[in-house]
Amino acid sequence: MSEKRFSTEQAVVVVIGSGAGGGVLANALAQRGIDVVCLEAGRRLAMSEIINDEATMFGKFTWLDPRESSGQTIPGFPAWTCKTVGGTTLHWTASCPRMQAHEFKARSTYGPIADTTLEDWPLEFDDIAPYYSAAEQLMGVTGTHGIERLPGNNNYKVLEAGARKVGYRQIDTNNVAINPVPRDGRGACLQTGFCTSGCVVQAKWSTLYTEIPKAEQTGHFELRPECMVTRIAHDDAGRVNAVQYLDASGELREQKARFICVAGNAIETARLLLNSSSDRFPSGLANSSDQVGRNYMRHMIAGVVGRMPGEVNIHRGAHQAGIIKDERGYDPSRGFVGGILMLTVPFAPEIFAKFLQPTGWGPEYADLLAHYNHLAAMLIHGEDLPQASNRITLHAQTTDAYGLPIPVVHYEEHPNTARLRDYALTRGRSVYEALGAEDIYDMVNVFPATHNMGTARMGSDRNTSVCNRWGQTHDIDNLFVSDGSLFTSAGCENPTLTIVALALRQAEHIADRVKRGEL
Amino acid sequence: MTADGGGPPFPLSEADQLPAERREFLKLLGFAATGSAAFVLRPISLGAAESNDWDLGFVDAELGLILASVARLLFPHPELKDSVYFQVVQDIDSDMARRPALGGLLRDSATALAEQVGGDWLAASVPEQISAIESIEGSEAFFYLRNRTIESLYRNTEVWRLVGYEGSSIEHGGYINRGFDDIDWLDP
Ligand SMILES: Cc1cc2nc3c(=O)[nH]c(=O)nc-3n(C[C@H](O)[C@H](O)[C@H](O)COP(=O)(O)OP(=O)(O)OC[C@H]3O[C@@H](n4cnc5c(N)ncnc54)[C@H](O)[C@@H]3O)c2cc1C
Ligand code: SF4
Repeated sequence: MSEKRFSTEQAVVVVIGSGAGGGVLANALAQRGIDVVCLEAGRRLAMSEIINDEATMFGKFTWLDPRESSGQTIPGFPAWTCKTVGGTTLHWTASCPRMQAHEFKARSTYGPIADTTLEDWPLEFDDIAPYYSAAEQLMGVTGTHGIERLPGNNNYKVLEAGARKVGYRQIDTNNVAINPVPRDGRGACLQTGFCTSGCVVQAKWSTLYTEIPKAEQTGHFELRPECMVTRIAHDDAGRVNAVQYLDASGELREQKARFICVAGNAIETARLLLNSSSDRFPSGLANSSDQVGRNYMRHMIAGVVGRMPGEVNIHRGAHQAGIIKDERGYDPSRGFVGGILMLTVPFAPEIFAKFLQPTGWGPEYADLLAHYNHLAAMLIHGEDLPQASNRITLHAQTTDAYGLPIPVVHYEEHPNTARLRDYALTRGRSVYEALGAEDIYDMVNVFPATHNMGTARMGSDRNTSVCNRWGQTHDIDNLFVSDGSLFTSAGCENPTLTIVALALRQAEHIADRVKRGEL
Repeated sequence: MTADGGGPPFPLSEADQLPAERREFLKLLGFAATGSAAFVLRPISLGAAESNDWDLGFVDAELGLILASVARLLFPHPELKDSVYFQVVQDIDSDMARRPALGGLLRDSATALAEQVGGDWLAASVPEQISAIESIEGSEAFFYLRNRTIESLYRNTEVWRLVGYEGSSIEHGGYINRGFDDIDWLDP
């Protein structure tokens, strides 16, 4: 670890958040010789603190500061993100499919859909393709660039066998940012089955032990953990010039900045922009369009669980190394727009007990749980559509321990999403039915949002979007957004590969402009 | 953080283990020694050997027995010893140390449950007890008891062994050579 320390008076690049977006961007800038300070609200865990225990790890790295749920969100816990160095890449399951070309043109492909704010992205697949490629190499994504795929575990074998019986053909162990063999100084996957608890052998890519230490080695980077940014400040010309933050001891500090990149995960990014309102920007920074916080998307996420005729031992092996892609395309004959992915997923006994039947109890239910080792499960992801009314706002009264208004997370399902979900559940169930499942359970409306998108979206029209095609805010020249907030539409794929690709693209753009003296 | 209303109802809260002022569980044993009818009744039977280690500060003897009995009725695994269900009571007791209102809530619902079965919960038949629990489904106390029982029971390694969850695997080198792909009942 380098001991590089920047003065708070030195105007550096400030990156807020050290997760997928922030970690990658900060390192990419530091590698180009640009001085970066990364402010991260969470603690830096030592590798020795990462253990194979879900409940303990949940307590160590989850974002537990209060958020208010509104609409169809999980009461008290609308979203599931992390507050730790590495952000939610400690928790994630590393599934890394690329978005499909037509998904970048969602509005032209799907046509007008009532009660949505659907638009095309201000960039095309071909624009992002080279950065997808760079992101896959950076993260070591299986099934790309000659990196072999992971072997399938039992839960995958069940998924694959059932999928073949119902006629699906595009089934494999997924593109995952998990080392099948040692690579990049990190170990190979041992199929421990604890991906969401942080990977002890570092086979799973996380910025905690990749981008952050690499950035530190450049001498152009300083990480400040346990520093919660409370406000972004600007000068008389309306350009941002500093961030205020509370450090580990609770002291308020200010860091001067030449430009600022916000990557706090879509909810916190929107909240920080809104919380930074001033006389000049009374409705929040970069919010002249009134779009900050709006168009919040999170994917339709549902589980299907089969009680199978034999043992599965679902807990063994990498979580999401298994996918059915046959339903991911655009096919309005199914009665909805948007694609669907079906991925393997394991749960520990506690989670099944809570959610297989959210109010279940009694002898039959206990018997089902006693057959834990017979359960197979998949997680279904479907595209959801942007709606102006699905949004992050600031709570009028309640503040958190930092004294900041807490975010209110409002989400209502669009009718298209409901149709997609019903179809997806029927198809998912058929996979386990085909193998003679004794019982099948849907897990619907039990998961907090894990994919948070759209709250500072990119667009070519500054009246309906917050950022341009580089993630630079329309309103403020030296303020950037560098996370899933940028997504114009959601696609059906897990978002992180796209977040990383956009961050790499943004870094290149910023570095070019710095070189030209524009920033 | 746990089911006691402080935090997310969602997942994997770390069971709180705040230090609490505790009395000896002897009181519960003393209750046993009075020769109460409780101990001849199913599904919970309290053997002194099993209860020796328990240490409660807030839950009294009678409530402790009722809560353990409710925990077993909610998630009845015949193979499990009563001690596993008494651990649930122990965890509830820890919650009470931090949440004063919880005691009242649980005592009230224990009273309500007992009334449903004619006054003496532990003397009632299992079907009577089950329909009494059904009558409190949807209540705050039921939500708490279900969630807390799950968080205690299904984090207990004895229960893991019973259901076939193998817990931490890194010390055994993961499952790469220990059956991550050993399924044998699928058609070739
Ligand atoms: C259980 C789970 C499984 C997942 N699996 C996958 C998967 O398989 N594939 C996939 O693509 N995605 C997955 N995701 C989603 C993935 O983790 C996120 O898309 C990704 O981490 C988002 O990157 P980010 O940089 O936007 O935010 P994060 O990685 O969440 O990082 C944001 C960081 O910013 C910090 N921060 C926020 N506000 C402030 C502030 N004001 N001051 C200072 N710091 C701040 C936070 O503490 C956090 O560390 C999963 C998520 C979960 C919860
Ligand atoms: S299954 Fe593989 S990737 Fe997941 S935590 Fe274990 S070793 Fe890491």
